[in-house]
Amino acid sequence: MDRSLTRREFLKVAGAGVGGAALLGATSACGGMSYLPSGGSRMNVVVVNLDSLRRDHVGVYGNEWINTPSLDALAGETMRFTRPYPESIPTINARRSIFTGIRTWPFRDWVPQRGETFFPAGWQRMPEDQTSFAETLVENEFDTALITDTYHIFKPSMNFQRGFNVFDYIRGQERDRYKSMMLASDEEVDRYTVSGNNQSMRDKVRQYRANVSSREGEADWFAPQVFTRAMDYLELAKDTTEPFFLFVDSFDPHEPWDPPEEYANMYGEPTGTGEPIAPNYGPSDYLEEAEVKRMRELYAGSVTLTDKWFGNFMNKMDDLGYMENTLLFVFSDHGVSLAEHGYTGKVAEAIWPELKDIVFYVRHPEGDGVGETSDFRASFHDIPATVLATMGIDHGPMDGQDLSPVLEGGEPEEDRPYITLGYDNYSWAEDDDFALSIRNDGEDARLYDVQNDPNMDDDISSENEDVVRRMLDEYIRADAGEEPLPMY
Amino acid sequence: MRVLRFLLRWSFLLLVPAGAAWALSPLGVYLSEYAFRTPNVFWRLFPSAPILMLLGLAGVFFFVMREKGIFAKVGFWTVVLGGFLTVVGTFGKYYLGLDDVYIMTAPAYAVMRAGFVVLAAGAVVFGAGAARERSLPFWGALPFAIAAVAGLVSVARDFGEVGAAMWISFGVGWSWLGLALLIERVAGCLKKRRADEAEHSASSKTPATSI
Repeated sequence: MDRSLTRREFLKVAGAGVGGAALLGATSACGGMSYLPSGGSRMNVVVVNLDSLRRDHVGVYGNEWINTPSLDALAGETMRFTRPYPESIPTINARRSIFTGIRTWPFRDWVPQRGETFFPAGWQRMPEDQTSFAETLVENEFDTALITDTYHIFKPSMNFQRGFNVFDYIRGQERDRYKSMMLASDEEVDRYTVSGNNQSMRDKVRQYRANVSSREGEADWFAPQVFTRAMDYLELAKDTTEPFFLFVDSFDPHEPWDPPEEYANMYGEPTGTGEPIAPNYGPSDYLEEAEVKRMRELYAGSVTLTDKWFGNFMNKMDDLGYMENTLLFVFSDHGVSLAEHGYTGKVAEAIWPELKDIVFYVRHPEGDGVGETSDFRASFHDIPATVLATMGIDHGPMDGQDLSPVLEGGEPEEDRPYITLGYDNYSWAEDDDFALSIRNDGEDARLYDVQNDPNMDDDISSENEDVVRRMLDEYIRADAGEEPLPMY
Repeated sequence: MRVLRFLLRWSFLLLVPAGAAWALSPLGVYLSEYAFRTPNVFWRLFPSAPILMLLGLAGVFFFVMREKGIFAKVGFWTVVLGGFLTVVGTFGKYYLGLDDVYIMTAPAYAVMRAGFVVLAAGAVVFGAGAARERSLPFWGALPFAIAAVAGLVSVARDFGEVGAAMWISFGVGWSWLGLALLIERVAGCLKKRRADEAEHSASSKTPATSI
């Protein structure tokens, strides 16, 4: 066999090479679309956050007087976590850990955002060196969509749209500077405030009422808008082959608690004076007893409204077959104080169950753990870790852990015998026996026996200083990296 | 029987449409996306490309190659395995919907992608072996092997525009091999005819010997 290269053969091969090079150049114009079939894990991801939904206001978590049929039914389709907790409080701090899987608390290196009007420690955009899991998913050929009326996350100083192909922002919640406040008269503000509301709350109500001045039917309320837009996205996505990540962030049932009349009067009647739709963030002694009752009724009505439209969304998920191919998370970011311990709103020194107890459901499309409960202490930073681990996608360091072993009925990757969280200059630690609230400089400690005093009414810190010291050192300072906690 | 033998002898020509079908698949994906808002319509048709490749290469292997070295043999059977996996995976994914049931494992997609890799790897070995052993025209086999290397890279993961160009190159390599064999055969026929004619004219000019 002659293996020498003849001149003629060389010229022919060289001709092929030139043709191939020309081809490479020409075909680069075919770009923009993957030439390979998509496939592998075709699981979608849907994450639903219901802002300020208290755990004790949901039937399946023990409430007996508020209608939450959708959230109750959801328990039969998911694994329901009985002891979830917010990694940190409030809104923006929670979103940071939800998106990055990295703990936001203890709020080191906090950069107050210029133009903001609310300054709890850690309230800032995602740091540039942290990656949102939306960015990771979009790099892995997911279509990504964020649908929300949580106006804090779409303020110009924030960056939570990172990684989303679509960010559908529904304007007008709370203090969103959407419409001129001149649209709301003093009389209207009086109608939706109580005499003890401070000027800040009156301003909030004025902006809110101006924003909603043109709404007509129930569909114009915020939760209906958010979930309707999310359902529209589901319809759109059913015709595509690429998997999607949909983040639905409903600001409801956050205040102002101003549901349609049917819901506002579902649990009681107006007092005849102004409606307490916006609580002061502070001591609750500005409220009369009847006003406290009415405030709770309005909040409950908002919960039921949100539950109804969330239920519509879940029905759409089911109708379109997404329950069988979608990893679903439903949770709330924190609760809200309704004068249970002498506070209303969300106050850093007032961390009690009404503020820190949240709901948390996870549905795996293959049915792992469906209908069961887990007492694992799950939280926000576990969400991206679980999503990316389930998809088999590599990611950078995260503090959260993959919940899949728990869903499968096994042991978690890492036991979580206690929790730590924080809100502004206050930190919280809790294990099976005790719960501790303490200011970051070590002052203002409150300690509760969680077994015998689940509502945390009796502070036992003075007679258990050793427990306070142990929880501060072994839980809070240990989780904070053994460095002194920041005080802002 | 003569017709069948004729078809088998010329079945290597299937390499030309096979390579073209492969090379045009990015365009097919684009058109499918444009017309139907999904590339799946194209991918349902895609198995025709590997099937034609297998038939064409079988024609080459059994009816063109006279000498078959170890590389060509290993390469050929690897290509057969890869093509089979590709077709089975495509069928399972786009016709049977297996991956819609087994979401996490996505068996059909995994088989399809594995098939791509095995097919391209087999083509590299086959082309390089045939070029080295000169069991096929060198100028057809070597570009085929080089294109197969590009194909192997392109199916390993999505390399965007460069990957698409390499994917297309792979298809062109198959067509190139088919055309090279066609040209060689036609040239061989022409040469043989010229030789026959020369022999014939020479014999006609030679005076018949008579006694």
